[in-house]
Amino acid sequence: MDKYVLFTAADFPAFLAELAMFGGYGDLIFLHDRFSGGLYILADKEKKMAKTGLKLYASPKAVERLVKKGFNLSERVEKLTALYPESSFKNQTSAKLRLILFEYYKTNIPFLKIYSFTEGIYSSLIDATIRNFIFKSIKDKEQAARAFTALLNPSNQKTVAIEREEILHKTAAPQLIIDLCSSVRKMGSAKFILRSTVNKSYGFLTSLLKEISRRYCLSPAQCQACRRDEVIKILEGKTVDTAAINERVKFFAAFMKKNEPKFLTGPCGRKTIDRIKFIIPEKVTEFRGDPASAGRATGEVMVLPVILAKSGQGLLRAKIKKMKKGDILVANTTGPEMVMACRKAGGIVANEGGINSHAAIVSRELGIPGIVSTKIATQVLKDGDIIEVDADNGIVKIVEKTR
Amino acid sequence: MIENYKYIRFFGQISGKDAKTAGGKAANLARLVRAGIPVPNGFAILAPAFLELSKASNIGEKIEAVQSKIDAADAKSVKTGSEAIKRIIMAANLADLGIETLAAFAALGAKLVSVRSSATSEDSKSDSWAGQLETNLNVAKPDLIEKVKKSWASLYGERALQYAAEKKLDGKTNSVAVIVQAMIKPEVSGVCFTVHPVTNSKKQMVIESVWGLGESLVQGAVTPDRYLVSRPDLTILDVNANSQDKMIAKTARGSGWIKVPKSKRLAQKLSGFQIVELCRLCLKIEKLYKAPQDIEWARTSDGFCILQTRPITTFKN
Repeated sequence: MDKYVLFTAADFPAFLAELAMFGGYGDLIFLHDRFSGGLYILADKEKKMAKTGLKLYASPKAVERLVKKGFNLSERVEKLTALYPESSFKNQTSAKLRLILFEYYKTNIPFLKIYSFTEGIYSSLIDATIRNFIFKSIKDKEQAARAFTALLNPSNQKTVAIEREEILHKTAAPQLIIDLCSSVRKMGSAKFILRSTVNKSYGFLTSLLKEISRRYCLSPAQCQACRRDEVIKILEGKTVDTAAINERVKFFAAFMKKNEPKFLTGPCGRKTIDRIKFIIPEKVTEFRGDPASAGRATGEVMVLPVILAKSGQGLLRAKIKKMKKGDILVANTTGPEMVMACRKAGGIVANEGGINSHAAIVSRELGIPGIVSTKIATQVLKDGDIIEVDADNGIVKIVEKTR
Repeated sequence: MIENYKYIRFFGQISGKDAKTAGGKAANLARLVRAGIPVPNGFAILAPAFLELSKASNIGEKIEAVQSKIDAADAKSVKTGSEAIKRIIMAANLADLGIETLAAFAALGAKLVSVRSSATSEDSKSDSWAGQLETNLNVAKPDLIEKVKKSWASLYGERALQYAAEKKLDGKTNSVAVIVQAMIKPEVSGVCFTVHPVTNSKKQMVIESVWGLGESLVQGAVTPDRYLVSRPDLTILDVNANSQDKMIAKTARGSGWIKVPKSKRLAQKLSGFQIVELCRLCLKIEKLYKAPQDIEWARTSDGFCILQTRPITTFKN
C-alpha cells in the first residue's frame, strides 16, 4: 500500500489548493476536512523531492539564478497588487474582475513555482547532510548545535560571518558543505522578500474573492471552494454547479492527475481522506520536528493563526499584543506579519518548514531556539500550555496542559 | 361582485372595523397584503356571520339549551354537550351565506384551500383555546361548507366549553371568523428569523429551508439548509447545504412523504440571489411589525409567499 507522509496540518480551501497545485505544489495531496485537513505527500515522492533539493542547493550559482528569477517574478506580482488596491474591487465591472483574476494567475503561478523551492520538502536532505557533518566534526553536542545554527544564519553582521568562517575552517568543511550552507543562506535572505510577496498576494486574492462572493450572493467559503473556471463562469454570468461547490465546502481530497487538479468529494472523497489522514494520538506528551536554531527554552504557548487577509489583521495584532515576553510562539508557519511576535518569543515551534522557512531563519537571526516541520504543533498545543523546546535535538515536551 | 358580499372580505379589503370581526389571524394576513407582502390569496368569513346565522335559525337557542345543562365539573357531561352542539352546527342550513361562500371560493380561483378559524375574543390568547381551533388543509369545493361549519363548531370544543362554564361566560363572547385561503404548492419552504435566534445578534438573520412543505422542518424529520446572512447589507456569511432525500409534498389525498427527485437531493434549495430576495422581504415584514420576526415562507413557481409571521419570543433587546 502507498504510504503518505503529512507535510503540514494546514487546511487549504479548493481555490487555493488548485492554485498551489498549478504553482509548484502539484506533488502534494490536499485534504480539506473539518478537523483533519492537511497537505500530504507520497513517501517515495518526498524522497525524490529531497534529492532534487540537494542537487539544486549544491550549486550556489543555480540558487542565485533561481533567487534572481524569484525577485523578478515577485516584482510582477507586487505590481499587480499595487495596480488594483483592494478597495478598488467594488468599483470594477465583473469583466474587469475576470481580467484581474487571469492576470493574477498569470503572475502568481510562475512565482509560486520558484517560491516552492524554499519549502522544507526540498531541504530535508540538505539539512541532514550539513547536520551529520557538523555533529561528526564537533563532538560536544551543544557546541555542534550552535555551530549548525551559525553556519545557516543569513545575517550580514560581521561577528556572525567571522564565526562562520572559523567553524568552516576548524572542521575543514568540504566544498559541498560550504556550497550547501551558502545556498541555504542565500535562499534564506531571499525568503524574507518572497514571503512578504506571498502575504500581499494572498491578501489580494482573498479580497478579490470576497468581492465576487458579495456581488454574486455567495458565502465567502463558497467562493473559496470554487475552482478557477467556476469563478470565471460566475463572473461571466453563467451558471455553475452549486451543489458541487457546496460539497467542496464540506470536505475534499485533491491531487494532480494528468496535469489537471482533481477533487474527490462525497463518499469517494471521504474514503480517500480516511485512508490518507494522519491521526494524532490522543495523549501526546512530546513530539518531534527538525531543529532549525539551537538552544533550549521553556515557556507558555501562544498559538498564532496565519492570517494574511487585511480584514483579519486586527485579530492577529490583538493576540500578538497579548503575548508575553518569553512565550513560545506556535504557528503553522511564521511570516513577516508576525515579526513583533517573533521578537517577544522565547522560542518558535512551527508545523511547516525546513531550514529555509521563515521560522527557521528568524529564530537563527534572533538567537532563540526554533523547531520546524513538527506537522502537528498547532493541533496539539493550546494557548497557555507550558512546553519545553529542546531545539538541539528537535523535541517539544509538554510540561503542563492548561485546562 | 365582491362589494356585495355581506359577511365575506378578501384579505385586501380587511381594515379598520373589519379587523376585529375578521379575527387576529385574518387581520394579520390583511396587514401583510396591504404592505405589499405576497401571501396566498384568501378571504375571511367575518364573525358576525355565525352570530346572525344562530339568530336567524334557532341554532343559537338549541346551543344555549345544551350549554346550560353542562356540568363543568363532570368531564363526561362536557364531552356529551360538546358533541351535541357540534351536531347542531353541522346540521345547519347556511342559506345565503353558503351561496356567498361558494361565490367567493370561485372568485379565489384555487382548486384547494385551507379552512381555519380565526378567533376574535380576548380569550383567544388564553390556554383554553390553544389547539382547539380548527385547521383543515387541502379542502376542495364539495367539502368547503362542511369545513366552515367545523371551524365554527371548534368554538365548542370540550376545553372551551369547560372554560366557559367555569367563568360563566355566555355564548356571545364566543365568536369566530373563518379564513379560507388558497393552498399553494411549494417547491421549497422554510422559516426565517430576522435576528439570530440563538445569539440574539441583530446583525445576522437565519434562514432554514427544505424541499416541499415546511411540515418536515417543524417535525425535525429532515436536516434543512441553513443560511446565515449579515444585515442590513445582506451579504451571505455562510451556506450550510444539506442533502435531502424525502420531503412532504402535495398528494392526491392531502400531503405525505415522497422521495426528492435525484437531481435535487444535493442541490442548494435557494440560490444566493433568492436568499437575498427573501431576506429583503422578511426585513420589510420586521419593519412593519417593528420587532424581530419568526417567519414561515414558501416558494412556488410564482416566487416567494409568506405563510405566517410572529414575533421572536426569545428575543431580548
